[in-house]
Amino acid sequence: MKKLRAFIAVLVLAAVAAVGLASCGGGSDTTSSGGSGGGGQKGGTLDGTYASFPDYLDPALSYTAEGWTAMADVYIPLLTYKHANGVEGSEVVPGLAKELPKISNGGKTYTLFLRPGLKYSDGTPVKASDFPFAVERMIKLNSGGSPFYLSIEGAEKFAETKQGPIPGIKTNDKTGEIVINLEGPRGTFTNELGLMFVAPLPQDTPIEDLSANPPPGTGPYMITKSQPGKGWEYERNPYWAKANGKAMPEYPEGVIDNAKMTVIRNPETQVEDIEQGTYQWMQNPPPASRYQEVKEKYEGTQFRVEPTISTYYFWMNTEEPPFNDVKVRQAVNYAVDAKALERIYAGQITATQQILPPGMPGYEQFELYPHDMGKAEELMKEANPSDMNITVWTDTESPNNEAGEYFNEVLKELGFNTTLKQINADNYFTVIGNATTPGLDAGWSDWFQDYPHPNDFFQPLLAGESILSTNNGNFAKFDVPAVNKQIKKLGEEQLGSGQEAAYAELDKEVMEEAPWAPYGTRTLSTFVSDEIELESVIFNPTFGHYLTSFEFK
Amino acid sequence: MEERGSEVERGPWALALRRFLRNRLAVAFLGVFLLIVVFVLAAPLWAHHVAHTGPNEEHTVEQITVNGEKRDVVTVEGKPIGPQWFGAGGKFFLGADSRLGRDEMVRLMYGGRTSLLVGISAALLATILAIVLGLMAGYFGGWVDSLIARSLDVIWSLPVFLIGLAVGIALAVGGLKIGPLELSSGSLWNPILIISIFTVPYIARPIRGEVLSLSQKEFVEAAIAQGASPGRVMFTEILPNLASTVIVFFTLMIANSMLFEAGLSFLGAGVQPPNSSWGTMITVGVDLLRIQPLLAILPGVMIMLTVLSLNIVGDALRDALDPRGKGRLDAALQFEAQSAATRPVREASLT
Repeated sequence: MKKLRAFIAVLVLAAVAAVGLASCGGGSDTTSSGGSGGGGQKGGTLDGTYASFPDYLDPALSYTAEGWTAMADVYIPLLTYKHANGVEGSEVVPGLAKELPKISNGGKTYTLFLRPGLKYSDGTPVKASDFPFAVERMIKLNSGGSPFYLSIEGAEKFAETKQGPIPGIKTNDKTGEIVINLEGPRGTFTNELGLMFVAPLPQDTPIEDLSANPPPGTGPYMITKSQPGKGWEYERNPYWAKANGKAMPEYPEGVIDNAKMTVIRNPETQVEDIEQGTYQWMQNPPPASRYQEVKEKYEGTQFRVEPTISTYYFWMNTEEPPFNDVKVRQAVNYAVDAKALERIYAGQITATQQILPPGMPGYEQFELYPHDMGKAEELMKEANPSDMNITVWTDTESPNNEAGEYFNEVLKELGFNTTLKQINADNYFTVIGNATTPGLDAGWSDWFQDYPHPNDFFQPLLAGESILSTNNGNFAKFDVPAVNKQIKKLGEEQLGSGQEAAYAELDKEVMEEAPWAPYGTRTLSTFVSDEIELESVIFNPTFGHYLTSFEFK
Repeated sequence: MEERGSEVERGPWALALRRFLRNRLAVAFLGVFLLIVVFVLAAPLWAHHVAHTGPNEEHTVEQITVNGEKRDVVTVEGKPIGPQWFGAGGKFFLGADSRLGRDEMVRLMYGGRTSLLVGISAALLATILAIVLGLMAGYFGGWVDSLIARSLDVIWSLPVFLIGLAVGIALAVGGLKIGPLELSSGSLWNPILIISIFTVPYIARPIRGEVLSLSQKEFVEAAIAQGASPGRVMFTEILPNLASTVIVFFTLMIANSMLFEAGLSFLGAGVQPPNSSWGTMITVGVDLLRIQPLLAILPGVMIMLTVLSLNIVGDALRDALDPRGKGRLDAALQFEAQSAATRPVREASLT
């Protein structure tokens, strides 16, 4: 509707211009832990906007920043991340569990205890056995997050047969004990228990995508209404004050009473709405065309730059011609000019050419493919690919759509016959993550850290076992046994300086195979209306903006 | 007396031409339309000899020399260069179109070719289909008429723009494959087919009405009496008498199809990027409306001028070919009634 209005407005402007012609013959990077900034008003309804509807409003399925931000204070996992900005926000803290897990048996057994007296937002008591149910539900739904949990004993078999239970999880509803046995040690498992893929859910929750009718949660807020594609609403969880808030007093209860999120697909309109106070917060950053202006005008009062640990990249399908030839992929890497993409993103991206982004343990800067069209053309000649017809994928959200168009043009310059497909941002990742979608040759993607561990940039995105038929995240279908082995080995170890060096080496090894053409790491932002306390708003590196951190002045 | 006598000697087409030429406004707008056609046909010449770039060529990190001074085509902050007129020898005459740094003038010219091509092709296809359906329905009557007329009613009753949008998006993702017919997702045939199918009723219904009336005429009865086959009667006796109606509708349908295309492309369901049409250019321009308003206004002006000129020429043709204008008036009223009926549905569903 907004687009239609804008279109009509342009036509009207055009008409006015023509009639005229005829008649005369046209940041600050805060790293402090947030929380209630103090002095703000209690209560109120937050009107927020997203540029696209999250991929899912179901904790088992969502695997985008939009979805996680939308549900962070609704579905609390056994462990969670600290309600804080920056590095402090990467700390894993107890969620529904009383304390961090006791790790025994050489790193293979994790023991946790559920806090007593917890209830879901519909009043159902939370039981220890809800955890294995959530894990099984997630795997049954072929969630993109399932590879994280396949190291649980019997989980791999469960994923194949979808017949339970998973023998590696033992629970005791009376004591609240949850014992998880892994096939082998896994250095990232504590972080992975903090993701909402495995947030406990009532055991009568249907095994289907519940985005239109999100299930009950345990957080201070609950989603009361969801209209996929349009928006959703929150109210306070009535059992928070009665039960959960008492059981986990360190978890912020939130200041506002209600929130309403509306999808406004034109970020220009979002900015205007924030300026006018029609909405109080936009989840996505201002559009590239307004970014500098908004930054100059509102930084420190309503606007804050939020550095992220992310990689923006173009993927190439390594299983099919022409990108099954490493020379072709390397040629593409030489041809992509990260400097051009910095301009396309209006300075919101810093050029990098590797898998691991700055700020991630194990990051060591290197540049294997400095922009060189001559070298790219040379490699193309050597490779001489027979199949030059490819489809290039991107979403419709600016400036990712322009990045996709840029990539399309680069591939044309290399001699490919390209077809560009721009898919609505709401379901872009669902479409390109589905193996039955035809023509998945190359395209745009991005990745924000799930948790501060370099494995998070390899296992879900570049390990052979992460290639899934639906909700696939390994878009390059990269499956190199030596790399798989190294990812698995490093994943089993606790992170230390030796492991960091090994990840840096792995980064280089993978980039020599060039399944991606990475081009940058992104900064995001917090932009609120003048009614909101900017200082109190928390941007967590894993979950983004916490709903509990918003408060009116 | 002498003039009247000479008019009598002229044929109906010559008389129509004379009447048309008397309409100075129509002649002026015909000139405007022809100028637009020349403008878009000259796209390769401008691109090759003046701008030295193609419509999809990106110049994001390049610099150009404007009056001896080096300037970024796109600044580090992502702002595309504005109109340079002839300051850079014709390069970026109207500036760059986006952060991709494509030449706006070149894209405007090529975009016009796309918009006109889609508009004319869709109108032509719709007109041909409408003629065949209208002739069959009007001539055979009975169940054939009922079947065709009800099918047209069904299409007419659909919220055309919304259905076009949904089909356009579906085709933009997966293309179309029906038996031997295969269209890739980025094909221009996708918007052409969508537009033509949904606009057939606007022409087929008035044609059917006219065929019903013509079928009762003596010359048709005479042809049937002489043993002429239905096909011969329809295509050699009735069709020539529909020429004036068809010409008028064809002209108006080009304008209508161009607007339809612009709307679909603006909403991402018509011409697919990186190809430009005036509709897609408005989409790109809207993002930069505050800093480079011309990027959205110029293609808007081009659409408006083209549609306005075609409408005025179409109306003048109707006056010239059918001075009583009854058939056209009826059709126009039907068209308007239909548009009014579908408008609230579009508004409501897009909110």
